[in-house]
Amino acid sequence: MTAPDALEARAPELLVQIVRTLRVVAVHDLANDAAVQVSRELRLRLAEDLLLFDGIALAVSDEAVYVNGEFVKLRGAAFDAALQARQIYERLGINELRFVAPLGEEELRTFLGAVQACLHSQEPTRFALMTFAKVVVKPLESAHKVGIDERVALARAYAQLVAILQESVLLLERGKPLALARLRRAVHELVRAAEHQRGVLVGLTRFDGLRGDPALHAASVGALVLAMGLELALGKKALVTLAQAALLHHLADAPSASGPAPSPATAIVRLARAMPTVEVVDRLAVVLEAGDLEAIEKHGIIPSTAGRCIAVACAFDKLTRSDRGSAGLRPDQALRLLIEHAGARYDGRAVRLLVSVLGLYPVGSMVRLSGGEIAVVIGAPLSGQEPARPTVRVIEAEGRPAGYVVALAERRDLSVVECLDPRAQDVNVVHFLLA
Amino acid sequence: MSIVELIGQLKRTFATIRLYGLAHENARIAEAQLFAALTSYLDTHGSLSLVVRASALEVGDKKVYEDERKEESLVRSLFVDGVESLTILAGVGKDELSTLVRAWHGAITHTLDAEHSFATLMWEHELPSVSASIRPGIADVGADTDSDAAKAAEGRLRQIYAALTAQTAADRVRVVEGASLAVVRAVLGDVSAEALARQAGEEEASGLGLSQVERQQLAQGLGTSQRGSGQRALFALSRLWARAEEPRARGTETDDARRDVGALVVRLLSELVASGRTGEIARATTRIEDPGLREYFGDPAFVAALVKDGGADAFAILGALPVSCIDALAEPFAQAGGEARSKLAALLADKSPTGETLATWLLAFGARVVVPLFELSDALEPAVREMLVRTALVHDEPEVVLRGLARVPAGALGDYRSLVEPRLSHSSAEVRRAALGAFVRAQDPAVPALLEAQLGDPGATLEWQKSCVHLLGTAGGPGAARVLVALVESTRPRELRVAATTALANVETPEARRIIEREAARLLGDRAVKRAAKEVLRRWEKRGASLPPRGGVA
Repeated sequence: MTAPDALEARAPELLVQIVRTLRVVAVHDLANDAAVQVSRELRLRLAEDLLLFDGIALAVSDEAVYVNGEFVKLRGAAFDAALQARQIYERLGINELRFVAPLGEEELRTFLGAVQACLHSQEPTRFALMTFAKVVVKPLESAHKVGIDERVALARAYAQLVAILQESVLLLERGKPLALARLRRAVHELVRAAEHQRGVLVGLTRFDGLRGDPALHAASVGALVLAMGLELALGKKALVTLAQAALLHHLADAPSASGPAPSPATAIVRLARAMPTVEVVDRLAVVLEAGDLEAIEKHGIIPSTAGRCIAVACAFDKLTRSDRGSAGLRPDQALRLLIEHAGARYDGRAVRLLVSVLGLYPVGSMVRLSGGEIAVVIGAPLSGQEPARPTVRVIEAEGRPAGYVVALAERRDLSVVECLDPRAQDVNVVHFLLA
Repeated sequence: MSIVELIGQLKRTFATIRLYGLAHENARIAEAQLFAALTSYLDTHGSLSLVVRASALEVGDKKVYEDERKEESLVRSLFVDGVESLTILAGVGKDELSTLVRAWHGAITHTLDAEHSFATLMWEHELPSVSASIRPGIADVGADTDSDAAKAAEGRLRQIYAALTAQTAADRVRVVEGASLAVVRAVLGDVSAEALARQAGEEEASGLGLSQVERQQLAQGLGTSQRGSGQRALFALSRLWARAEEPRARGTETDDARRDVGALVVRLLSELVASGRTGEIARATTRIEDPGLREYFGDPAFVAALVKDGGADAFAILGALPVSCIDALAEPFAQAGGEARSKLAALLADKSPTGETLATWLLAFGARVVVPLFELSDALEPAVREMLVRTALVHDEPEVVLRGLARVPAGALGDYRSLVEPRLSHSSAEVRRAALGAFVRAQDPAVPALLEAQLGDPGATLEWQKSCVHLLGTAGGPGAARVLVALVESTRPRELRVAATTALANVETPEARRIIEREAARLLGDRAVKRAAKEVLRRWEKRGASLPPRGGVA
């Protein structure tokens, strides 16, 4: 068999194997059995193929996939792998990976660790600027723009959700059925947009600009539980169900434009009337229990996991939102109080899940660093990293405006010394998340 | 398999489903054929990517399908829903294709539930080999984007987005002293002002990780359907009910709120029992103590559904109903049969219904319930039985009256006389007989006079008169003897005189003997009467020593 023939025969499998490895490390810890296995298989495969070829280059464009410059015929698993490769490459801001020599176990581990960290970070396209011992990365020119577009799309999806929730509050007030299909679709859009921008999703919930608007509180809690669900890698249907439950919980007791919030009894009756679906029992159960967890547990009834998670997210948002004369706590204060009450008033696991999603200084928090800089948290620490060391965008240094990113997980010389109240300085933190 | 053939099979599949419905055998066959065709195509091509246009499907840049009639469009609903393309990969399973076909069919026939569209279903199902590319944005695709409502919605969205992304925050909050602490206490309970002021630090960060087991627990809890949600919902509503009572000063508003909560409880109960989740209701019932709210569990439709369910949980719920709800059991009791009725009777016995309650049921349902009600009353207080008997005696339905008459105690006729006597002239002969029977059983001294009156009724049938004669014989005594003797000697119809003669066999008086012997010896008398008299004599002789003496008093 000639070299071109050999390449044509092996290219689809090679594509599938490389993409499978990247996908597995995207969701599993490197020490996980699945990750260890695929890494070993890839290392052996590359070692074998690099005996035949002078380097293995996997390139992806909009139309096609190439291995060593040769077009790969896409069928079955190779077609699927090509779609996934395109997504991963786009996210990382690259259009080619070239393996120039067989990699040792540690070398491959370093490379895959960088892939994993960047996929989960706020700036995944920094991968394009990294260098590795035996892997050459070719950046994609428009990757940076892709990152910004994703954040803008997410902001739009969030704004759309708030708008639909405002309409829903009016519908409830008028005793009309809720447009659940539109609400569901809005949640879908938010989930799709948030898939690689989880930090921004959390940061958007720190927006406090529509004073006392119940729709904003509902959207915020919905987004927080969505982030919690994404952290647990829930399936799409479970994510939507959870988010819908959170939204309905907060629509129920939203105050009307013309008066105070309805009594709890009136609120739930009003909500039930607006929901003609057969799932009304399940939905109402979560809506009701999220607001009355303690009593339910005291009577020996086990609340649902959804109710517990929504209760924690709701508590966090209520504590941090400025409303009814309260300036709202700083996020770190609120989290600390929730941590203190974990296990007593709130489910400890749900609180820890929220902390793992937000970090101790949630995205959107304004902080002062030990060097005197003022920064906005733009990226929560990755799972397993220290919750007190997020990624921040410095907005003021040495008394002057600034604009650079610092990953505190890597900068041990800097740390957060205190959280500041952005509202006291008329700063809209969301603006810096989208920059 | 070419794309043209495949699309042809797709069209035939949907046409078959439209004609026969999804559950029909022909639809299943068509779907199986589609699967075979699709698999054959994918074996060669690896994947199929259908681009969705307003009235057509394309593969590559080639149109492979076009709607022939708008009302039978295969693609319009998908296009309006924002679906840009459908991709199916080799290795697609039958179940995946089935899911796709059902969602597609639901979309084109507008039979999907109110909350879903084709796009949302496909997105949520996460089929491994089938994906739909959906246009981002949730504006009603295809709707009139120039309408005032659409423009207003777009305007609101722009406003919110502008506020979201502005560099500076909106107006500052007017802070009220103590408001923050009040909010914190509302959320977390008792918290001191000092506790609020403390800053978080690195020490808080330790021990905050979520273990893998905890992650799995949470994911599992969030990913599975809600068990026990009915119990939780009902219990939570009971707490709302209790809280709705507290502000008495609100007056009407409180009553309305409680009534609304009660109506919502009834709705949930109906949903739960309809979906076979009576166990959850039963568990919730044990925790709902407020009798006012428990009354809503006596909703007639809900109770009827429970009786129909018939399971242990259903009857546990019925057993827990307050006594005030007992009337809800009337209709189901009337309609139930066999085992259900027995169970209901046992349940009712535990609730000790009053005589008035059972009487009302008897009046409402009559013959349908008279037997089980009387059986039930046997387990209850005598006063309840008495009320039931009285009600039965005045009922319109003859069968009910008969049952009532059968229940009149022999020794207590006097207590019911005023109700039984009118039955002697009831339109139903059976009732009249039963009424007379009650008097006879009671050996009431008025029996002969009553029967004589019946015999004197010109409207009475011969059969009835014969029955009265027979009863006179049963009653016995001088009074009866007098009437019977008078009958034998009368010019009444032969059958009646024969019956009177025969009846005298039980009447042991000298006068009776005299008449019997006279008729037996009469040469020119009625032969049938004579035969009857001789028969009576024979019976008396057979009885021997107990014959009444000739003349004198017996």
